[in-house]
Amino acid sequence: MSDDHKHNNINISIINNQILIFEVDMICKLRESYGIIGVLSGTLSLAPQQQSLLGVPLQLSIYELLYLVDLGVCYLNVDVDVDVQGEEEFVNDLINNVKLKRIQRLKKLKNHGILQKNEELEDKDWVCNLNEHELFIETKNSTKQTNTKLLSMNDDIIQQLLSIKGHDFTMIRFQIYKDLKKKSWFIQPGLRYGGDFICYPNDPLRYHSQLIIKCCTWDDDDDDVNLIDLINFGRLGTSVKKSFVYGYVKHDGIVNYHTVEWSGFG
Amino acid sequence: MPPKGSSEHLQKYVQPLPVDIIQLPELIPHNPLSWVIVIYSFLQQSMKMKKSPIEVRYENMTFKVDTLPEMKYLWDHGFFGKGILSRSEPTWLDRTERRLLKTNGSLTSEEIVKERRRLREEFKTERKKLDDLERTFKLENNLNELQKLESKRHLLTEKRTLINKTKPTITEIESDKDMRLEDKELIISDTTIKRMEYLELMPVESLFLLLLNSIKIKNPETGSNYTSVQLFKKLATQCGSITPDNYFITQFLIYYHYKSLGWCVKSGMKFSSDFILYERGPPFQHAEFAITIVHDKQVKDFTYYGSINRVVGVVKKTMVLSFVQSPPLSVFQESWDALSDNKLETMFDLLKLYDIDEISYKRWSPSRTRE
Amino acid sequence: MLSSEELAGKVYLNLVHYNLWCGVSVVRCGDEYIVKGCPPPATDSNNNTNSTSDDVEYIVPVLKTTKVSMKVLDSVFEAIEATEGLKPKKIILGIVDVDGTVVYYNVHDGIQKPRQS
Repeated sequence: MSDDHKHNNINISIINNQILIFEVDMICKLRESYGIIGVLSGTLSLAPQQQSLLGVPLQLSIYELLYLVDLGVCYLNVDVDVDVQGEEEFVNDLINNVKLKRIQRLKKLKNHGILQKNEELEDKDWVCNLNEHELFIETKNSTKQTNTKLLSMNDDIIQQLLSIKGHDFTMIRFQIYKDLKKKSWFIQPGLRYGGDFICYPNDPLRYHSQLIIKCCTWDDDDDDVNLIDLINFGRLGTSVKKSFVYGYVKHDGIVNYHTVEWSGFG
Repeated sequence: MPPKGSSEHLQKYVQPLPVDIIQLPELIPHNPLSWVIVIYSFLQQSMKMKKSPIEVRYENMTFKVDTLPEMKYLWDHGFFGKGILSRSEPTWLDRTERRLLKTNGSLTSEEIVKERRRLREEFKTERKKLDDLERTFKLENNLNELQKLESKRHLLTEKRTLINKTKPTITEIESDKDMRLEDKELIISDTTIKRMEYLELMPVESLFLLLLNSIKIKNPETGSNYTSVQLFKKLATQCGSITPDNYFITQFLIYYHYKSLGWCVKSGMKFSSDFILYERGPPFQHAEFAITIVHDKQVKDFTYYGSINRVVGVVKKTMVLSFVQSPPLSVFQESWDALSDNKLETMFDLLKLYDIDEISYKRWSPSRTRE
Repeated sequence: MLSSEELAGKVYLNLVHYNLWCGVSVVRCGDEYIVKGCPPPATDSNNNTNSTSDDVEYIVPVLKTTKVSMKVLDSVFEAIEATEGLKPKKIILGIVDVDGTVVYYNVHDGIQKPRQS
């Protein structure tokens, strides 16, 4: 596999039926190469008592995962081993830090005149002071995964994810997702606005979302749109300055849309 | 039109229902003069009473009241019905006469809304002009002009906030220069135009008024007037199958429930709800509550309630869910079959099989509502 | 079938005498009764009329209790194309309430970006 090709691969982890990405570089690559934003879902260690800003891992929706699997660029991390080299580095770091702390304590005691300039630190002085045993080690942002497996649509793990109730997967939504991606929209979950997806014309950091998409069937009686709901969506769209769009798939597989908005008179 | 809640309204809309009641002064039995006063008052009020129930036409599944005095009567006594060419109160005749015949009169809510919408469109075009200017100045890096533009923008936003309180004076409403053909056809003479507007009653309102004996409705098939039970059966059958979840039966149940609690109940379709409740009526204050009917077997997810709540919240109303517990099919069927055209109590026996529970639904945000 | 002749009549009345539309007529497109007409010209602050609204619009009268599917909406677009010769970019649903209120909602064929408000 050439280096170029490898550059576009996305490695994901599936933990507890959740699709997660822990590596920051991978998250950036995902955003830049594929226009997939995902949702950050980890507590930010710098500010743990709030929820508005979160950190790694990035969580992907089932549709985002399938999109990547469909393109053939999705690799699952299996048998995650901590790099042996990494472990050695970690232990060395610890030892170096202890040495440094010891030198610092010695210096401090000498400065305060408790120890004479030539004296050495006795073990009892060193061991008793627990506070000064705090050690700071830099941990890595990403681990070097050694085992990954290319995912395809027929894999058991994919089929299992599709049947999880929490993912609420329907093929129709996936087809509409793919069509929207083809039209260069950036897609995020739309639960907040009463829809299935919300769409941005470009990166969400630079633009407001413009569409709320609700996926429905072409002619399934149970799925028929209640006109009161249509009025609801039309009003919702107007109040948040977005277009409310019904997405559907015809029998021939073609995806089409109907946008609903208040006419402005009456 | 006087502003909402004014004392003019309090004097005009005294009676909450189109039912004439005779209020007699206190009778002091041993005082003959008191007898005279009471009898005089009785006779005087009896003479003023409406002689017979109002005729309501029922055609094409629509309940219509055509004659102007009757339309006004039903509106003034409880705000029943809706003028089909107006926002609520049937004011089309006044507005159109003003528009085509250039007569005078007090401004109606429709004209106020039209003017406000026009001002909002104007604001948008002005703002677009400012936006375009801003873009050119930014490209030229003309700081001087940009500053001047900022102050213009401030003035514009101030103007915008005033729009919602604007009440145009009569001179601001100019009639159309070129009259449409459709309008020319309306004019009969210098002082009259064709009457196109009628008052339409909701089916639930019609049944309610029939129960009060304020109206009478002729059955187009038989030629005689509907009894309440007959109308009830007809409207329920028209709506679909006769099951405990029948659309008309639940609608009437909820309507009757809130009406009997004293609310003025109107349709809530515009706010994606079933009904909206006014404490006194539309001319007094905006509606406080938006009712959504929920059947006990209905399963809807959270987003459904969330989106209705959002829309209702924007118009500053409180969302209320009215839960309807329907009887089992066999019990219902028995009661339905027992309905008798001339026995009103059979209809109420059916309605009594239902249970109503209501909860008010308000969104709570933990980060915002911190004490 | 979404609309009926009576419903179309109600929407016709509402458009002509309440919303002041011009050249309004009820046409039969396939199974549906469609009301077609032109909205009144928008007036600006000087009460000058902008003659931009010569476009004919197609209103589909529906009762608020009706349920529509995407297929039905598509068929309305096609029915209008078959009768009028031109597939409209949007149709307007004239939703009729039990008290005679009519609210109008545009249905565009395809994705329409939001209007700047």
